[in-house]
Amino acid sequence: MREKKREEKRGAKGHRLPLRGKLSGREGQPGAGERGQSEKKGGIQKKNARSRKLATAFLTPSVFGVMLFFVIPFFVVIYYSVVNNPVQHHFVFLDNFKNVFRNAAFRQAAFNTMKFSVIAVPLAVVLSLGLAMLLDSKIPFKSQFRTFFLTPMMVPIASIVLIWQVLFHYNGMVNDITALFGMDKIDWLKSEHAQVVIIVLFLWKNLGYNMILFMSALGSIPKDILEVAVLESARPWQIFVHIKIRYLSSTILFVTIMSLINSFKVFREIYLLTDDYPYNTVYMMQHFMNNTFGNLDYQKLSAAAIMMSLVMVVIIGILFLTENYFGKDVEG
Amino acid sequence: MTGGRKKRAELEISEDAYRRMIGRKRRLTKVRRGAAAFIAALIAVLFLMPIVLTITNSFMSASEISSNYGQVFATSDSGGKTFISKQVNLKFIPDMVSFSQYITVLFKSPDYLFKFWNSVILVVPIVGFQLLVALLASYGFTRYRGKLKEIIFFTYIILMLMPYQVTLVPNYLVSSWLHILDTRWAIWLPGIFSPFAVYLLTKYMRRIPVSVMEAAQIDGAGEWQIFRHVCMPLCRGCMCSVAILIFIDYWNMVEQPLILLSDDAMHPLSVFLSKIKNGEIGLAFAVATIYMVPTLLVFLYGEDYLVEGITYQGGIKG
Amino acid sequence: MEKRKKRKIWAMLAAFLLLFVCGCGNGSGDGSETGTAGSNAGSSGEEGEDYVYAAEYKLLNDYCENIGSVILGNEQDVFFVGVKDEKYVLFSMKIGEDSVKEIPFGIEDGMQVSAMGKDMEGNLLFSLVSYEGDPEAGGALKDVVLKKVSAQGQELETVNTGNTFQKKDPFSFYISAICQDGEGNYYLCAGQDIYVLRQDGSVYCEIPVGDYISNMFSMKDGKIVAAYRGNTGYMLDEVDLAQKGLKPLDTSIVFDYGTFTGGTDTDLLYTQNSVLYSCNLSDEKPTSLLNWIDSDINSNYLKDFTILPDGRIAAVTVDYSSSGETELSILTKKKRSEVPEKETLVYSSWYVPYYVEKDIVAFNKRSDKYRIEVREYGDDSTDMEEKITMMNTDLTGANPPDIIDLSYCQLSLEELIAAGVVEDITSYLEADDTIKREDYVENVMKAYERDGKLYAIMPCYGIDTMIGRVSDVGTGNSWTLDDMIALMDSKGPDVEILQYVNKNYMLYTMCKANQGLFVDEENGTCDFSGEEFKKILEFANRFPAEANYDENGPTEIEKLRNGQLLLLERPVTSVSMYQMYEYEFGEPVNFIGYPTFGSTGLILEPNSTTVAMHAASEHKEGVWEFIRFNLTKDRQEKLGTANGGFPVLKSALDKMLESDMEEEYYTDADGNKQRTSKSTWSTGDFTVEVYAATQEQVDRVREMIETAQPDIGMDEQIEAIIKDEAQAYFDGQKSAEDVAGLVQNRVQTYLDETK
Repeated sequence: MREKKREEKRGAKGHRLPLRGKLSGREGQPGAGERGQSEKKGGIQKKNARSRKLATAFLTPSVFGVMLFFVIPFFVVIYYSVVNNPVQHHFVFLDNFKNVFRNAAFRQAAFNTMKFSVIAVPLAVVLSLGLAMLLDSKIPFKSQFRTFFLTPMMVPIASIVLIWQVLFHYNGMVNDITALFGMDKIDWLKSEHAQVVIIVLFLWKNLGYNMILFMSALGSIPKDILEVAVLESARPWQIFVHIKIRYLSSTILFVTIMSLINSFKVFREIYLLTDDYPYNTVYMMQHFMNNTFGNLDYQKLSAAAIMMSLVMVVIIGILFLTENYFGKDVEG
Repeated sequence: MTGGRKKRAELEISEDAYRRMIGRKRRLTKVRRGAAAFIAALIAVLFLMPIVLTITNSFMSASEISSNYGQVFATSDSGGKTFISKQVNLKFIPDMVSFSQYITVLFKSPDYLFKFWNSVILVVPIVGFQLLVALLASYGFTRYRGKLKEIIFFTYIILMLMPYQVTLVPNYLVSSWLHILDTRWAIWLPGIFSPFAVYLLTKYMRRIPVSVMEAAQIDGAGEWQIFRHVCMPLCRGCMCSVAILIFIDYWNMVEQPLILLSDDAMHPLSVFLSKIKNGEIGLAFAVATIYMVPTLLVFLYGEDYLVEGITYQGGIKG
Repeated sequence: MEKRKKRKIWAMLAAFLLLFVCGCGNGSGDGSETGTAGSNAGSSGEEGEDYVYAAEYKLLNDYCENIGSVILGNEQDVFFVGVKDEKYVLFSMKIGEDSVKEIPFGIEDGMQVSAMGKDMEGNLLFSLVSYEGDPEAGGALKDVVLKKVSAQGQELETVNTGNTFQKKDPFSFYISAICQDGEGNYYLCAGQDIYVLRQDGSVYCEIPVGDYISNMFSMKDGKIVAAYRGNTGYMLDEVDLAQKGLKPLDTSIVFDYGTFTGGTDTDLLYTQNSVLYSCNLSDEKPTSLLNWIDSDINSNYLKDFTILPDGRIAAVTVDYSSSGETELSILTKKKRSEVPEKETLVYSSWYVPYYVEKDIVAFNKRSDKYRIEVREYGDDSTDMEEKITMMNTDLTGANPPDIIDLSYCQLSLEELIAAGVVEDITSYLEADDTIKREDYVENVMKAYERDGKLYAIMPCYGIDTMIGRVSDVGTGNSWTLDDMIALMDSKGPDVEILQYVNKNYMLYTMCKANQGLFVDEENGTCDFSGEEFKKILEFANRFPAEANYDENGPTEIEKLRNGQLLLLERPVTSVSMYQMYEYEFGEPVNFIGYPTFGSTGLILEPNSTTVAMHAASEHKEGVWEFIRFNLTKDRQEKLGTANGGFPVLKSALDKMLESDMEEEYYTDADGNKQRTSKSTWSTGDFTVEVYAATQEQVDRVREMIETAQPDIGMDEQIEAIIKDEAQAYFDGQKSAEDVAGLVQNRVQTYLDETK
């Protein structure tokens, strides 16, 4: 009985494959295709206009909610960033930005956050790709391993923090292990190496999910191309660089964005691991914001938030441009 | 993709030589696979350790835990004369299996159960409605694409990337304008309209070939029918995986309830877990284990979908 | 196969969850049970949706001192006995009039009024007592005389009780109420007993109740009723003369602890849980008339209340927490629309101490324009941290309070200023006609001044200091940590320098006293690398990790006297404390202050309602009214006894210090003038009689006030960081040097951020 069901399911999957085939065979951007089609089929243009409106209506609940809970508040943030304080509302223009920019703690936080992102995000991409390749090489217990690597997503923050504290305590396990190699004890969270701890934490939490993204992308590389490459005696690294990376490029960018999001979310753990004011090497942007919120210093918080969003816009913009560029590259 | 096959034909390699080539490859990979499995196992141990620790430690008695980890968590005001080991012992196997923590959590103090229910009440509507709102929106974003929509979509991405600390104050203000502060709506509404699911679903839907929907349109299907009968069935896997991600995210929320719900009778268990103090360390593991169960259920139930759903996202293009 | 396994796991987990859900069901059952218990409490507000009781107040202490007994008469009048020109005088006052009439009631010298009551016709009853010697010193009861006087002062009856009560110990025997029934029998209530006396003074019977009788009163039909907490609940029993005992009143109404009187139209008029009820015994349930709180009356202070013929309600309250302020309140029922609306000022705090409550009630009574409402955050079950978060979000939120209590605000004044939440009150002070800055102690005014802007004024304060023997700490005005270490070293290892202290406490205390040395708030820099911080760490490390509380060990005074304990760390809130501490140490003492590395270590500590004005308040004038109210001459001269502390008004301070130096006398039975103690300090271990202070002591206190530093609280973050890092040093894990480095690193980040 059960066997039969599985058969059906597989059938469903099989059915979906041609869709994918169609897409990869498609020329250019879907948007461009759509435009082309509407030109061709002038007859249904009128109907198109109506359904276009209808389709847009689908957006309304979300846009309304996002406006109310995210966009309007963001304008409030902008407003806060140009007044002296939320009670008196004196307009001060860019003073808050100047103050924040001059603030040593802000610069420290920005530097640390950047350092963390610059190290952790690429590491997350590279290591998860490595893991994906490892599992892709048809090893036994593949699906079990996949599940194992996903488990960190499930563990509640509290136990993560508890266990990390135990591991990286001055008298903890990590120091015991490093002592075996004759290294001195390190108070991990209060030293120059503190970022190592949070990078490990971040990687541990996110590698599994990234890995799955990569595994699926690897799986969708057309088999025949790889076979041909093997037949043409291409070396594994050549296959990797010239074929796999190219096909994975858009996934890499997607994983990068997801890792970036998650690199901000890992703050909750960092915060619980350390304190409001940790050792300065792990003092992150979110510490700065959290603390300024706690101190009711909204104008400073707002100014910092806006600066951060600007940096974000630039980063995301660059990522998009690259994605567009590489996306074309693969298909062209 | 037919180009590949053509090439192989052009090479005109004999069937025999091809077999031999593959065979050598196979022997080589056998060793490699063994090594790979070994490495994977090693990494898996590292990955599994915290979860295993959480579960095994939940079966330790309070005194065993405080003697093991006392040094990490004991601050001077704890008092008492319990033995606290100088060394921090990370132990996998309890000296004596004890269910005392579970008994406390499950039967002695209803507090934890209430908080657990709070978690459920807070998270389930968010997952359901965020998915619904996001499905509609993603369809809107996918169906016809224009400059304005691209800008809106880009805004969504930026908003999604904002750390929570940034939106905290405005969120609070909006809630207070709407008079929903200190009610569950203050958590539900921003959660339901969060752009995260919209982003993932849109990314996925845009992979669905336009021709599929257009075909339906030509067949005379209205927008709603296309959405309901063409788009939604195709997105089932992705919906599942997005639901899991949202669930995990909100199941572990801490800041929102702390700020927006002043009545701690409404706080979810995650808030309690994040504030565990010295005396309750022992309980923490038991509570955490129980807290993991729903996530585990969701996960085991939807893992295939998760993989499948993400698979489709894999080759996403803007 | 794998799928099947997975399903098994899934089913197991689901079953586990189900178990959990069942447990949850149990839990919710518990919750609902406790819920019902509290629900009958708040059912008093049914009456008068559109009516309110507008109150007028009259302070009776304006006419005499030490009002001991007060009673409302039958003819819209109030009678009270007080001391005027060192003599007991009976006053009567018509309700609604301002003038009082002195009524002679035949009290002889040496006699005191222990209870006042009235009979059914409205004549006044007195029980007068005299003692052999000073009753406070244990002089036994000499004589009890009962008197009946008409409302006009005509002496109607004098009953001599002979030797019935002679030689009774005044501490255990005290007549608290007197009544008379229609047959002329006198009823005296004394603690747990009721005495019934015939008109000739002979005892008819003595009724031991076995529980403390809280009220004894006569009903309009002449029955005498006693109220007490019995074994089965709160009892209202009538005195049964035939049985020479008590029998319960015949009623189905259930009573609880409260204040009971006989009604004028109804059988009973009583207050329970601050609601005034009236009822006939035959009623099924009482009628609730009003809630005293709505009229700013503390029901715990109620002494007597009655319904006047015109429907107004008269009440007298005695506030024992102050100098016994006795107040007459007349409540008139009015339509809500007729009562002028007062502007509401919101006072917010996560904790409201009794003195703030008192100040607010006093202000609300006096002010006809403003009314302060308290916004308290959370309840007993709310986490402290959450209360603070709630308060903080409120401070900058859409609905800010008008008045911020600085003593109970988690944000420091600096943080409040930075957030723009507090208003500079300088302009209000300058514009005020009666409150002049120069009339107030400058040093204290400066406590809440930052950058030339004044944010609050503490009306009453004490001084935190360390206290030691002159022979140990010398007579100087300040000392250093080195001095303290030297003192410690000069004594044996078994000598405690301070009791009940631990490492963390000493670390905190020393860092706080010397924070200026480590943290430069102005430039936002810190320096923990110097020798001083290490010295403090080492010093703190000499104390035990956990404070020793030895309940069976010697008491504080024993330890002080035999040299086991060197110092006390206490607030000084009155000059008389000199005498108390000298008694405790058994030697002259010096209030030396906290050890510092140079400056004075005396700390001003607010001990009263210290509030700031919210910058966004719409009633700033009202807030200033409240601030100035506590600074007025009248309030300043009276606050001493209530709060314990020194007034900020110079003239009031002078007056207080002067009166501290005045000896007090009483005339003993032989007519000789004897020196008597001004007050008594009493702890569990000892009792000290306080007499007049010396000029030196007063001068030293004045000097302390003028040199003391404002209490700039240690920044909580910095405190937390220091405490956190120092632990590793105390545990012997890290060197003082390393700890100083870590503290430096983290505190600097903090300071950078707040810059």
